[in-house]
Amino acid sequence: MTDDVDIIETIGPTLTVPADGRSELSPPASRRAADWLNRRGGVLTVAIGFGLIGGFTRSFTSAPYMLLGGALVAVVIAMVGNRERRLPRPPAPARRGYVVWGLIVAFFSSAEIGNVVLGSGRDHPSLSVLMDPVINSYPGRATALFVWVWAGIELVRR
Amino acid sequence: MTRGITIAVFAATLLGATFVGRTRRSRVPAAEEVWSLLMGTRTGRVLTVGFWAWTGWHFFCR
Repeated sequence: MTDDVDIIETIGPTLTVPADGRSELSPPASRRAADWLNRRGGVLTVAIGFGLIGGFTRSFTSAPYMLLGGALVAVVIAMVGNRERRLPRPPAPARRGYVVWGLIVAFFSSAEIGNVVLGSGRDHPSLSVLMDPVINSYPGRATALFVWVWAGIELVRR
Repeated sequence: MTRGITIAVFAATLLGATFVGRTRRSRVPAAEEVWSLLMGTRTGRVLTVGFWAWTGWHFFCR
């Protein structure tokens, strides 16, 4: 019944690939990056490698800027590539208690800004000062960078 | 001491809201609901990525 019909497999809403596997249209780099990051093994490899290498960097140097800048660019590119398969917007919330979460965000923000304005020291520790004892050691910094880049990749996957 | 108090206040606030949000009759939405709503809009996604980038700079670069 299908002898005289070309069987095609559709990947996403735009890209079609013939059944014989030859791709007539190469997916954009952003889509390829998103596809790669969508594989669990790829995510783990990237996140662990990022943490292990980033653990050697030190604050106030150019190395973390380059490392984190690269991660930011990769995440934004992959996020753009992933937008077509994003889940539809959820329905409007039934409960009206969202203001509570807004107040919590306002509380955290004002505490952080206030501590920074007051000098961000021992008496008024900002979040980064609170994390300094952890981040100043290699294991803590590598772990924190792993968590940070993992969070970024999870943002892309949604 | 101040560090401990600050961490305790932050953690208690976050955990408290999360717990209340999970209660069935609570009017406070669960953290997952807030997250889904946030990531369901382009503005929310941009703000979230911006916040993520800021945390990276704040904790690892500055």
